[in-house]
This record gives sequence, C-alpha cells and structure tokens, in this order.
Amino acid sequence: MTYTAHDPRTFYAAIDARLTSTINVGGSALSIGKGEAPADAATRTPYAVRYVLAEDDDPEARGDLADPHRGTLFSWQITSVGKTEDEVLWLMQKVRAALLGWTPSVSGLQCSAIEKDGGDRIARDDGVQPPLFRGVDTFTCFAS
Amino acid sequence: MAKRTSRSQANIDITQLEGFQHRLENAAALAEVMAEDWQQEHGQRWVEEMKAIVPVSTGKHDRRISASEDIHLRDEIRQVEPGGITFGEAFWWRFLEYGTVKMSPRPFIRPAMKKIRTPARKDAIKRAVELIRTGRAA
Repeated sequence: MTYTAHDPRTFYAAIDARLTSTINVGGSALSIGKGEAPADAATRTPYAVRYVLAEDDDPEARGDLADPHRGTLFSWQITSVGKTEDEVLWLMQKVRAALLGWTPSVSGLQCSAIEKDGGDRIARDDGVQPPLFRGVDTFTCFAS
Repeated sequence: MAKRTSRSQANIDITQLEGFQHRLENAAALAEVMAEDWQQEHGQRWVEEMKAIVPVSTGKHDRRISASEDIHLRDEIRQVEPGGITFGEAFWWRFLEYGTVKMSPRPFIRPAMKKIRTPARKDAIKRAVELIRTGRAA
C-alpha cells in the first residue's frame, strides 16, 4: 500500500507563473497575492489574489486500492480586484484565458486541463475606501 | 423470450414482454416522485452540513458584516423546495463563501456539498435500481 502526499506548492507555483507570464498590466506582470492582497495593492490595480481552497477529500473518487490518495483535485480561487467594474471584467477575462484548458506542467505530477468550477458576480466592496470592485472565479485541476 | 418450435420458426412469448413493459411504465411513472424524494432528503442533509460548518460570529470579520443585523446566517439556511436552498435575509453569505477585497473566503456551501455528494450519488443509484427491479420506490 502506498500513500501519496502531493506537494501543492509546486502546483500553485506553476499557476502563479502562468498568470504573471501571460497577463500584463500597464507594462508590468500581473501582481498576484497569495492568500492576501499583494504588497503593492494600494498603488496598483487591477490585481489578483489566489486563495487555495480545500483539496477534494473524497479518496474513493480519487484513488485506488493500491494508493487511496494517488489522485487529487486541486481547487483554488482567483479574486480579481479593480477600481472599476471594467477593470475587474478585463482581468477576469485575462485570467480565464490564461488558465482555462491549459495543462500545467509540474514535476512529479500528471495534470489534467484546468476547468472553471464556479464563481461569484462582480460586487462593489464598500468595506474599503475608496470602494473597490471584486469578481471571483474558482478553478479545478485533477492531478496524479 | 423465444420458444424454438422448429429450426426455421420461433414463437415469441409476448406475455413476458408485456410484463417488462408494464414494469418500465411503472418505473417511469414513479421516477419523478422518487427523484423529488431524493432531492428533498439530500437537500436537507446539505442544509445540516452547511449549518454545522458555517462560520459563526466570533471573528472580527463576521462582526463587521453582521453585527448590525439581528440575523444569524446559520438560522437562515433552509430548504424551500426539494434541493432548493435559501439564505433568507442573510445576504452576506456570498462574502463568507467567496471573500471580499480584504477578507479571505471562508467557504461553507461547496465543502458541505462535497461531503454529501458521494453518499447522495450512491443513494440515487440504489433507488433507481430498486425502482426498476421491483417497480416500487425504495
């Protein structure tokens, strides 16, 4: 019996690299925060925040008798933040274009193409001043 | 079922086919009711799972969102039709599920769904097989 413990850091490093290498904001690579707003959030929009969501905890659907945890479903959220709805719409489209259907190349992992799992509408957040807009997409990728 | 009466002729026992046809018709008539029962039962499990894991007002973020309202999200989660969930007046469910500009997401809807979906899927298959086999809803 084998028990695989995947290292999610290499996977999410590939996701971040994909986004920064393909999305250009005002002549610079997209600023992405990892679980929190990026350091330059106050001076630069739009930006994105990547949140790692729970991996699929259903071993019955993801493994086999020899290794119940052989496969895993990575699940993450990209929150696009901007000063205007238009900025957020622009960034969300860029993020989707960069990720949807792309197959990450990660050492030690065989990945499927990335799919969109869900998301939330664009909303104005008056909890910050001046108000910012945010939109949410969630993505998944099966890896083994 | 075919009964061979000679090398070149076969008579079909039509009564068995009719019986099978009646069972399929019964199953089709009951399928919608069975599906609704299934949705109702597992929808309620989804509600219970969400109530079990939804963040309560113990953190600063929850207070900021809900302190002005005398409403608790946990009490507002309910099933209004088979499989149909409402959060009532607790509009801030989406801020917890997906986060805000400053607040991290604290999902409770999707994790609850993940927890119930495999048992629900197995139960659906079991009920469908039982329905076709016996002509009655389990």
